[in-house]
Amino acid sequence: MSLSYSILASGSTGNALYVESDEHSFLVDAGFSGKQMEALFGQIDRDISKLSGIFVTHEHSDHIKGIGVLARKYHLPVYANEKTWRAMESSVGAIPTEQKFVFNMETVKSFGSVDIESFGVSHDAAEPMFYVFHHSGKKLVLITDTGYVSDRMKGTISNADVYIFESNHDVQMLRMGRYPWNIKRRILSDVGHVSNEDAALAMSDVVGDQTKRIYLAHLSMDNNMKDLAKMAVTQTLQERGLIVGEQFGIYDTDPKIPTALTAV
Amino acid sequence: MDWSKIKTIFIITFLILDVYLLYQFMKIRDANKYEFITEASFEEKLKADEIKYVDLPKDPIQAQYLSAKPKVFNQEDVDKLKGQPVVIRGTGSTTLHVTLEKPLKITAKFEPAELSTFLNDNVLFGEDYQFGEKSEKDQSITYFQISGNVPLFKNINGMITFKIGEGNQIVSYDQTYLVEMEKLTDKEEILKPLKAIETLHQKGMLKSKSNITAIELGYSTLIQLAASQVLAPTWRFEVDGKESLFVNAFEGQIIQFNSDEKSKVE
Repeated sequence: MSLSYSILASGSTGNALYVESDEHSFLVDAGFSGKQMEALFGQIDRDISKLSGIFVTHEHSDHIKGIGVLARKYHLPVYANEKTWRAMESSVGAIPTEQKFVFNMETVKSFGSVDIESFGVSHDAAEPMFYVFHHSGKKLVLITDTGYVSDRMKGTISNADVYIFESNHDVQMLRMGRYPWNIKRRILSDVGHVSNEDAALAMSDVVGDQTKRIYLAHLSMDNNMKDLAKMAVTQTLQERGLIVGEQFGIYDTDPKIPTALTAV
Repeated sequence: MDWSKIKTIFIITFLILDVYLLYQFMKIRDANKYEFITEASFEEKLKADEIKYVDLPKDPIQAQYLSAKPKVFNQEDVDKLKGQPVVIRGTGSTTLHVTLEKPLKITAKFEPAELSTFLNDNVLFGEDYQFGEKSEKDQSITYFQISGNVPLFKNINGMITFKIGEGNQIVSYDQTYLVEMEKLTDKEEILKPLKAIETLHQKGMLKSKSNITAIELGYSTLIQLAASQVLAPTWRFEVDGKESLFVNAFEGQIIQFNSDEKSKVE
């Protein structure tokens, strides 16, 4: 009885996470076209039609681009909170009512031995929320697209086995970069994205003795680099007395290439 | 309708069409001419402001982001500096403070060659530094560390600062040194120097009648992390043989070196 996962893709061009247990398989977000999503599933040798459901975090296009197509083509149930359903209605197109499910923030849904818990984040969307997967005492957390990590969020996500944690930008690179000022302000705001340093500070508050792997996710293509994110997070954690490589490791994600299917 | 009338109608119609096409042609040609003028106008503006510059590299240049760590000095390093009183400073032991037993006389004008023998024979990794600047205000001479034949501009973790005492003599120096220089990204084409000059001109950093006397590509600190730093390719423009202006060669931003902002890693 195990829970496995693959981060199919992560970044501002599109996001998708695949999670499976022995009985069920789940997709969180589908930020690519139907064809691209099929190709990503092909790379991890899994079948989209067998999904037990697609779980939506929020209505931004890099998270929902393929939702409508996949739901219609494979008759898949889609779960989102009410506000997100309303906000994404026009973007995802018509999905049959019997496939539309409401999954409200701060509630839990059970699929066999897997409990999926939703929690709210701070982002400029209708009602953004992310998920914690619980299975046989193990915990997998997905948290991206948040301007900051509140104490409430920290309470929900603490001491997980695996974190898929946003490490969006380096503040100095963002400031020096070519983005217009209003975009920079949005990213840096409380409803934007967390920087490498802020992510590391939040991580240092939530990692526990169970934590084995932290994936740095949703990296900005223009204002971050994989190695820089890793260095910044590692050094900030080390400053706070957490030695990367001893108890847990830090891992990359990629905007196009899925991570290997790994057991929690 | 007779044939002659049809002919006349055709001739008039085609004449109108020709006039219209000629009009369109002239419009497009004028637009192209205007674009050409716009492209040329920046160099014209420099000419109008009597701003001169040395020959610029014409071929595209590629560079990449680098990362580096400040060297932590130890007793072994101190032992190599025989006969010189040395103190390792800073909580991270990243600075060597060396007092010269025999102060070194330099000329008032100072030429970098005056220090080259001393650097090579008496300073740790001395061959990895090149002359950077002389400050009358601080009574100091700064050498920048070089990496891959390019200087690391004003990098507080990669420089030597010689202190000038009474009688124009060098009395001591502080040394920092960057190690574990690694490539962070693949090489990409950097901004052409003329584009960087345009930024300096637009931001009012280049006064009229300025003379850009030297252009040099190097690296400057983009991000200062707790135990390392990220370096970005940087253009340096020497104006009137004195002041230096710096532009990030990827993003085109003007770099203002500020000792508070780019705080030292210790």
